[in-house]
Amino acid sequence: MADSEDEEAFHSAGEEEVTPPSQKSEEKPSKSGQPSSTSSGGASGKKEVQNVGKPNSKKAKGKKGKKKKASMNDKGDNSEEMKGEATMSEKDAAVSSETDQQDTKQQPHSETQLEEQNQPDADVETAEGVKSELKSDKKEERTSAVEDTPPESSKKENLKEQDDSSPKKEDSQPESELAEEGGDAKAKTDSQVPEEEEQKPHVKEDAEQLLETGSEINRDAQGASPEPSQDDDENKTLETDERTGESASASSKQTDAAEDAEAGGGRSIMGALSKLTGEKPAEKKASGGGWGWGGWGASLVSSVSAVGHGLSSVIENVETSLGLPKPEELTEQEKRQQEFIVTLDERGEGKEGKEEDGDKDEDKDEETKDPGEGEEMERDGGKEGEEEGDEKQDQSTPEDQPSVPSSMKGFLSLGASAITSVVGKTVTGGLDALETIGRKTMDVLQEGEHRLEGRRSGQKGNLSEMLRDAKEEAETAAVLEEEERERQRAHFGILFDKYQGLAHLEALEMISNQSESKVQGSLSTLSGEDLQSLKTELIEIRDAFQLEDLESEEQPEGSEQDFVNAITEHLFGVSVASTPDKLQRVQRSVHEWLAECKSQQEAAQKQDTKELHIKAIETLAEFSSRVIEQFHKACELMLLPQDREHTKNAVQRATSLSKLTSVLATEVSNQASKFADCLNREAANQEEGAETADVNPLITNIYLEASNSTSYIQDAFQLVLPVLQMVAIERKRDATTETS
Amino acid sequence: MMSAAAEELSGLPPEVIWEYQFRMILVGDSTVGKSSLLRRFCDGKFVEVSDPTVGVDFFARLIEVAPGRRVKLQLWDTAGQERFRSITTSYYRNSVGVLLVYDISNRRSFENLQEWLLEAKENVTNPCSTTYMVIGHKSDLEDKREVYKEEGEKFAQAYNMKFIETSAKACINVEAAFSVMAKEIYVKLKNGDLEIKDGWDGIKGGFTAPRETLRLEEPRQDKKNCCA
Repeated sequence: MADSEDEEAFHSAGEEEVTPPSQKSEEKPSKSGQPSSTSSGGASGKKEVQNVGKPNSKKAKGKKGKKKKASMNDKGDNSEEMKGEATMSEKDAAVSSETDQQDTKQQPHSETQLEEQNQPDADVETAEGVKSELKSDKKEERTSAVEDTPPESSKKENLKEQDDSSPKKEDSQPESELAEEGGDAKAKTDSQVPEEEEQKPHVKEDAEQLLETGSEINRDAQGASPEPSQDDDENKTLETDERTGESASASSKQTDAAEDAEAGGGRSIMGALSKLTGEKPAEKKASGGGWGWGGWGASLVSSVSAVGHGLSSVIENVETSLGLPKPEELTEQEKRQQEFIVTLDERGEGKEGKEEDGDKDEDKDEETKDPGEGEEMERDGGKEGEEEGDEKQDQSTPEDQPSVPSSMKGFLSLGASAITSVVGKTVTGGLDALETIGRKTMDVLQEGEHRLEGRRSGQKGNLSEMLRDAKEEAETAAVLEEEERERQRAHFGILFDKYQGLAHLEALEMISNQSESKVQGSLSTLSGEDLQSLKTELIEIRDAFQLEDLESEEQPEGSEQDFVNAITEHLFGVSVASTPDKLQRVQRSVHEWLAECKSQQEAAQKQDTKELHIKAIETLAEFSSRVIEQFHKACELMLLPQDREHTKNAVQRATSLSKLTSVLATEVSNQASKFADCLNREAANQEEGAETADVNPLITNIYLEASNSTSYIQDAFQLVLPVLQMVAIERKRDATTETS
Repeated sequence: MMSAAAEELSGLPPEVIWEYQFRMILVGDSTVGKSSLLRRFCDGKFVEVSDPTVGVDFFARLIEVAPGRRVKLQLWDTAGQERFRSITTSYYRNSVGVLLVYDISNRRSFENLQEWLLEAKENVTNPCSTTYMVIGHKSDLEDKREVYKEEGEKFAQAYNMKFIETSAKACINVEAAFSVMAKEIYVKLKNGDLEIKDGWDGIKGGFTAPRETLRLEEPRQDKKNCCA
């Protein structure tokens, strides 16, 4: 730690600052590009940290320090430390002992550095450092702007200020004022370099920023210290490294402590910091190795993660109000993002680091500045810092903590939460989506291809074989399906339902059951002679309601007209006002179709036996449906009250119904046999025995469905009986009431 | 009886592919247009003049209640004439949905809805789980309107029924009316508010897989677990 070196470094730094800043500015934009991108990615995390930290200013240290990175390292450390100490001491008078410890630890740096450098320079530098730190903290843009390009910096600063400091301003403004005064004064008094002029405006801005973030700065400085240490390691002396390392560790610990303290209260910070400082060396060593940037990155990670932890507690509160994701998730996301950022930073800074390494001046400047800052720190801490700083800090501290939630909310809700949630959701959401898709795909595959699934688990034959088998099976299944469809087209039950035969049968059944229960009810109310007479009458009806033996019924190969006459006559016998229009229509069309078929066959036109069969079944189904509908309608009409009086007696009706049913059944068998004839003719036409074998099952099926059809009709017929009986009872009751 | 759309289903008899069969009954005064409504819905036709229904008639159509989920609606078209009243009351029992139809150009038919509703609730198997809908029919006769739409809505709302105005002639809301009903019932079924019960034909299991044995006398039992 030769004074000359430091001084030289400082001077050179001061002189060179102009150039390096330009480089920095150039570099930093690039950084900002990367970091910003990273930060944008990680921005949520960082922002949160910043946001959280600023109000408290404790958190800010860690972040700022990290952000400041190599460029501002030394300066930031000292000034920050100084201020931090001052603030600390001011704030926590009670904890003064702890602060003292920290001060003592930190002071050594500052003192040594101070000794090396000129105080005035130090002041200016400190101001610069502070500025730079602030800027760097807020974002690299600032740093670049601060040093080289004021306009940009101012703009950016403004923006940043608005973003970052808006929460802070309230709290930290008092401090900022002090800082401004001090910084300006120092800058003025210290006529070091031409840079000062440039710096002054910057300084003011910076100072404002600093003031705003004054508390933050201190913390930042602490946070920044780790980085400086790394830089120092690379560039300069081990001693500085150690010291900075200590300070850094202290700062980092402080940040941690500060974070912790946020929850617990400002005072505990000091103690935590002191404890932390004791532990730090190891961390720094680890982080310090290799490239400064890499080391910085590592330290950044640790500190960031620490910050993240600290945040989590704060975030929890905010989250509850904001409805953010779980704190664990948030912190996790933060870490991820931060790590991500760090890596990016490392890359970005790696470049910078090289450049900067090349420009030892910068580093030196920073270092030299640090000592200067250290002096300032001492001064401030001793004088203004204690007085004003205490007052302001006191004001700020109480404000800070309460303000944390409110400012936090605003910030988190605006920036951090939005970005984190968005980024986090995108990442996690994307992963979830992928996972879901994958699972769904498997499910679908397995659902659709049970065979494939079995094969997959079972044999491990080659894929093509497996797929070929699956294809064959699928084809077989398709053929079966097609056959099934054909079968369904000729399925009597389905067709019967299609023609509403089933519905009519059901409706008829309902009426029948209702009538049946009414009949039973009537019987139960009667007794003696009435019961006997009623029973007798009901039995008569039932006896008349017997289907004549269909076989014995002579079957005149009835013409179409015969059929119509017969059913009309019998329906009239039932004395129902319904006409067998539908029945007739169906019957006529069937016979026309059969005649057409026959003529075609005689003309040697080929008929598709399958289609013939389907037509036969369809016809049977339709006809029987119409028959059942007819019965249904007849029942409905018979049940009409108006109908009762004009009708013939129940026995007559029963007889007519029976005959009607016989006719209808006969018609069914006629149709069946005609279709069978058609098929047989077709088979005969085509000759060649194989065809005959093909036709026989179809003919058999037709006869089968014909009998099925007949049984439906007979069922329907049977269902009419209770209705007839019911009507008879009703009429009898009407008669008795009339007579009585 | 079958709609052209339904018959297009992959060459199969359309009834083969329904998941459930819902039985609904249409009631309301004579000449309000119940049969026309059903003919429009099931056959896509409209006839200016039609004979009064005797007792009950049947219509059927498949309708999609959810993507890939078809149900068969078996629609019982009851006679509105007073003389069939004693018969038609027998037909409520196996219905899961009741459509109360009135003619917006016939105030009397609207006022009689109260009676029809009462009758339905008395005769339906399970009045609570039955779905009701009020249909103001002949909405094309706007110039002859005697019942405001609001009145119909209010009436339906009062009894927690659905409401829609339709026109078979202009083909307005015909599809929607039955679709709403079918979906409502389907949802109830899925929620467990309704279930397939032996001895009650309001809801029957249908055929979803063509390869199943197709004996209509034995309603499919496979689909009953769908309620779970």
